Amino acid sequence: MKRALAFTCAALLAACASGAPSVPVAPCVTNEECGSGQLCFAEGCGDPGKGIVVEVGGDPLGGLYARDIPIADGTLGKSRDFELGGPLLVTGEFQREKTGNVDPTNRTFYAEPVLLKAVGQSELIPGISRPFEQRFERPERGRFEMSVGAGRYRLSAWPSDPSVPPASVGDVVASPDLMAPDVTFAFPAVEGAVTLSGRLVKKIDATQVPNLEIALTSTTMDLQAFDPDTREALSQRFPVSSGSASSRGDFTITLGPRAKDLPAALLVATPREANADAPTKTFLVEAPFPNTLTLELGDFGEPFTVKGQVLDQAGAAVIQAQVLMEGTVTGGGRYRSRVVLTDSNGVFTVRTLSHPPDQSLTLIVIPPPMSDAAVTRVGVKLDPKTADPITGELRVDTVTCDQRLAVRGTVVSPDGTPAPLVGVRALEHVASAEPGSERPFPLDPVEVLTDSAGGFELKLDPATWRFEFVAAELPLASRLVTVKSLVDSEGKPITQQTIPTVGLARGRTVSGRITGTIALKPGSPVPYSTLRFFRVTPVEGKDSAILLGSTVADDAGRFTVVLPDR
Amino acid sequence: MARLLLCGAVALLEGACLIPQDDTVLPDLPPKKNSPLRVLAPTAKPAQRRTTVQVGTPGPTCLRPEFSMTVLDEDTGDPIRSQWYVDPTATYEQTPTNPVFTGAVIFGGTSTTRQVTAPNAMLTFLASLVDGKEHLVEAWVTDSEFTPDAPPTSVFRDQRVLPDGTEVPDTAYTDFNVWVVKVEPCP
Repeated sequence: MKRALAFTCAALLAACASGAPSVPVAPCVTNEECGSGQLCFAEGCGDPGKGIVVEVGGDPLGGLYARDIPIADGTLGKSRDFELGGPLLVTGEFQREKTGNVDPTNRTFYAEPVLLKAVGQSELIPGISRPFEQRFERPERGRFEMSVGAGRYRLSAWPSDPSVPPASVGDVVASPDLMAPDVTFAFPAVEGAVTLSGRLVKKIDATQVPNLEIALTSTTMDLQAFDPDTREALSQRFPVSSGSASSRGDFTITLGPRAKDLPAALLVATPREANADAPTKTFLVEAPFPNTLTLELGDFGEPFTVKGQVLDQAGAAVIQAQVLMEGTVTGGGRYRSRVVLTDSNGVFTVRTLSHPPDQSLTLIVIPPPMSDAAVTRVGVKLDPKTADPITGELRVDTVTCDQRLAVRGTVVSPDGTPAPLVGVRALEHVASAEPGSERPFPLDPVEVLTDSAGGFELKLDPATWRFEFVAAELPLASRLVTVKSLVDSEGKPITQQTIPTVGLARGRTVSGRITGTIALKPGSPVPYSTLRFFRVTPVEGKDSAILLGSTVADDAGRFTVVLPDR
Repeated sequence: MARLLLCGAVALLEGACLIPQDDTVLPDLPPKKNSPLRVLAPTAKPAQRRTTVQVGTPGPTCLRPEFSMTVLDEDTGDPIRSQWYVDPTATYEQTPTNPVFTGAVIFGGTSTTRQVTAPNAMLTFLASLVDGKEHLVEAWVTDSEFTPDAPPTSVFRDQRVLPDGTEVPDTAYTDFNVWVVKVEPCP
């Protein structure tokens, strides 16, 4: 009680000092730590009855995408219907400049095929991203109409003709409370675009006079230009010539007129084929852009095969683990091998390129879920000269994976008795991943059921995890759990971690029906729509969304959800 | 006369009630048949079947790819298993360029709807497909178990034991969802 009181006071003082809304929120472990009328959620303590916003998934197949519906505090009763109305539209026109100048009065419509992409965020629920795209094969008089979910978007239009640079427009808001935004994309005329020409070579031999350009022979590459600051595409993806010896490596790429105002552009050379044994390399080209460019991809050598074995801490083979290699290769490009799987002996064989003598490549092992072995990264030095002369394979040292930690806990019902058959799901807490995280993807979610004593055990990699506890007729409970690799006083790795007992709260049931305009019929039930109830509240000064509960409507659009109550 | 007839009829009916009845107890109900599971297409993510995903370091202009869908199965005790195919062959045979990925088993507790998510392995593999081409992603789910090295339509069938002790194969179900995916690097 003292702890709760101290926490509440401290939180109130902090809120007063910062002038932020007086919503006391902080990380918590149990409901008892939270103030009166509050519960402990993964993101911190909070009143489950305030600041609720519902995301209603709609009927994507009918063009009715997600809506965010705010609920006034204290008005969410036992029954609540949601009327979604018709699809939210973004309309507009594709146009093309008639001259090299940017002149809205001197354009023609562009009726060639265009791919329109929209990437946006919910305006009411922080952290919810919404991507959409639609292809317009022959937009009549350049007009387009695309259904999207509610949110604030950046739209980009990509003509199928690669010589026409993409165009983009930001801050487009789609909301049921606003008129459908009308957006104009103006593609430049041929003379208004910026053209970069040159040759992509494997290597320039500076010892020769004149310098000798060594062409790329076995690899087909593409080039694309980006804004160095915003990383927005300035051009489409252009093929580098792989034709005759005299033209091999030649390229001409067309950039939008915005490139004229930039101090530099990034040119990214990428292999065209996914399984090509070639690196990706980025070149910074400073303005004024030269008439012709020579880009050196680097002599990345010939690919070779690396063979190795993956074991766990007990010395057992790690089966069906993903293995890949990545890093900077000879010549300065970045390379990522294909992903291979270990066999029944934990053995893998992966093709890679060589690295510079003073560097190494990173070997990444991702064991399957529920394996005892953890995700492991090791630096490996490779010398192709030491490869087996017969098989051509290069053996690397056996990789011994770290051990995943066994995270244990107990779940109890609101009356304090053990809660069996509760679904315990662990999801990597993406928001906690640091920028530039070494893992490009979240770790696999893991799920188990509690046993008859309410106990559970999950084997997890070191990371911050969001635990969700799903029980029948009770609201969702959640906790954030940080799993760390630690050693005990004798220096031995700690292999188990126990989290405080999770007490399920009592809930209240909310039922209702979802309707919308489907096939021009207003008030139609929206079948199988997803609903997610969030509480939006500041956490550490930043608006965050706490998931209170989720459900899926039935075929008649009816839903029932159990939300936390106190 | 009418009263006499009525008395006679009542006497006959009463007699019928006194005829010994067959006291054989009704047999046990047969165990419930497995219910089909179904992918709820409106819940699929990405929401659009033809879609572009970005791979690399996530940021404001680069969203983490997510492939998931909700599966409806009235049999709450049935674990849901999923297999994810990238550019599957006609026979769904696994090759280095046509891999198969197994998703985590979803127990779901007492809920009839279960969310199935693509395994990390598939997302990692997609990252190697930044080639400007479209790729097919098929997600299959079953309320049984997939047969190893066989098309996803081939699943194990549990036995149901009838009250008379005979075993009959139960029905197992599969369903699937498809996306056409283009993979782009994060800018």
